[in-house]
Amino acid sequence: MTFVGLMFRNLRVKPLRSALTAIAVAVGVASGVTLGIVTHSLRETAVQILQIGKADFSVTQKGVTDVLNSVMDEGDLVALGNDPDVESTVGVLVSIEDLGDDNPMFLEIGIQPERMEEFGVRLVQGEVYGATAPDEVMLGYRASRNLGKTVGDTLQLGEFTYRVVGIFATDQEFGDSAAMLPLVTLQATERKPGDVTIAFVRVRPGADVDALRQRIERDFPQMITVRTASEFGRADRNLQLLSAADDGATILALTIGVIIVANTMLITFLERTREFGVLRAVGWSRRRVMSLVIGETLILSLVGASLGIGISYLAIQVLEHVGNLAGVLHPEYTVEVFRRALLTATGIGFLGALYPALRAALLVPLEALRRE
Amino acid sequence: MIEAVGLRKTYDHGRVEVLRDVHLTVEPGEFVAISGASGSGKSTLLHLLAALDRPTAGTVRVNGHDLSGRVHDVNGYRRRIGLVFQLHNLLPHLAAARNVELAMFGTHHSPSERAQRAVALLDDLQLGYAVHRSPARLSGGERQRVAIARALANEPKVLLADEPTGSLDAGSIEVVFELFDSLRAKGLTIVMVTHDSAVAARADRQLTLNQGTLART
Ligand SMILES: Nc1ncnc2c1ncn2[C@@H]1O[C@H](COP(=O)(O)OP(=O)(O)OP(=O)(O)O)[C@@H](O)[C@H]1O
Ligand SMILES: [Mg+2]
Repeated sequence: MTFVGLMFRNLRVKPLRSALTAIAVAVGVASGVTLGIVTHSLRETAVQILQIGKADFSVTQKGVTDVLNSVMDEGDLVALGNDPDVESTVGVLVSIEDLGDDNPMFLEIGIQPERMEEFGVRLVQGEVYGATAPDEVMLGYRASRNLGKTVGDTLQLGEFTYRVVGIFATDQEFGDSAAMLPLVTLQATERKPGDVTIAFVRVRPGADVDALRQRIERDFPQMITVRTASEFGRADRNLQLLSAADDGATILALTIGVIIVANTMLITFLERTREFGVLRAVGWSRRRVMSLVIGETLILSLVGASLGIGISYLAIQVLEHVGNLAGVLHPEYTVEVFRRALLTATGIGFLGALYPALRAALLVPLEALRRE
Repeated sequence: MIEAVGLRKTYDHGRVEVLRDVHLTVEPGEFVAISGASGSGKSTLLHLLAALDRPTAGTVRVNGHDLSGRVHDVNGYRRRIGLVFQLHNLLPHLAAARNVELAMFGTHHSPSERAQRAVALLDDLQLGYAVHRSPARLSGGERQRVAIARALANEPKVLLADEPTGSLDAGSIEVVFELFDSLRAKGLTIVMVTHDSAVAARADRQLTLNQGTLART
């Protein structure tokens, strides 16, 4: 019998209790992981808007709840473009159209046709719209497929009707699922003349990007620069809140998990006092007794973690297909997810086991043997 | 070798005096039997010798370990002496052989060596048929022999046994003593508490605990 074998034997003495403890850990892990994946997924989805443009960084309005609510003046962009380190800026207006259950968040991007190439857009079929055409639209090839529209078809977006003149591709799923319109046309239909949502900035080769970003944020206090997905919270308050909620809920789930595990292990400890007394009497060290208790709890935690990942997977499947997250959520099961689950579980297990393990280790053997 | 001088042990802050003035010297390889009325302090004395408790006064040395104060490497010491509890103290959820193996954790034996040794010991005590049984499915005498096997698991130089033959029939007692005798031939020292005068008669010396002191029977 190995040490770990002994742990399993001990856990099997109270199978129901062991199972319930593992489930408690699983729930803790599941809530942490689910929230983590949802937050991550929403962050990724939102940030893809920024990544459609091939740029060194993006600029949006500071302090908005949702990056799509960002409003910047085209004039400011011109001023920004005068910085010697800026090679070019492309301003786009982004708007969301609800096209029914299958496309609750259809993206419309207003961009000047001559800036498209710079923006990373390739024409794959048809032609590019005219710079001021009021009724021309281009579809990403995914959007074209999803909507069943191709060159020559008409497309209803909100109260306006457009003619599909071309199909484009970006290197990026989010962009390929969108529509592009002449900037002035979208500005007119959205009643936002002269406004853009995001600007994509390309930096002159060799320039100091960080210094440039600092300069921009100083000279244009209403703007904020975003470079990577993880920075997206800088621009998007909703994501900031979601991340905070995620952290809060994770801490809460962890705390509850620790309390449940500690409580169970403490009951177990009280029932096993005599057993620990025997082990100490036959020469087990305090450390070995502690390792036994912590080891048993960690086994339960790892079982709980696997269970938790399963629960979380199911929960996300449900979230993906119901409610207002449908079509928005693109969950990714990364190594990070499993790392997080494992970390949560071992954290719960270790913290929950610590006090009971210490009590077990500090028992006076003879007194323990006298119990019952 | 065991050497106890002026051992005193009180409970309840001195209100209960169990051992008053115990002197005991046991030579290596010797077999000493201790008897005495119930409550006379026999188990208490064995616990002191096993470093499970400390004397209120007096000194006790076993194989060079001073057990009167804080024992250096008490776990190693407990592992190197064998103690058979009066109440067996087997773990109910583990099979007989597993109970024996428990005592060998922390030694250099590998898990399979531990298992082999446990089975061999139980075989010696004619319990080969019961190695996989849990204590609940063993008779009192069988449990007692499992407890003896556990005490002998680490090849101790000293065996402290608290009525190890209490629930054994004459045949089983012979089996146990066959093993004891072969171990004694290799130098095992035995201090045994027993109420059975026939068993005590096998000892090199018989002592009686009375009024907190030890005297020749
Ligand atoms: N922890 C304790 N607190 C108070 N009194 C104790 C404690 N342990 C033992 N005693 C008392 O010490 C006395 C001796 O106990 P001990 O178990 O050594 O007796 P014993 O000689 O082994 O008896 P028996 O033959 O019945 O096993 C008893 O009167 C018992 O009540
Ligand atoms: Mg006794």
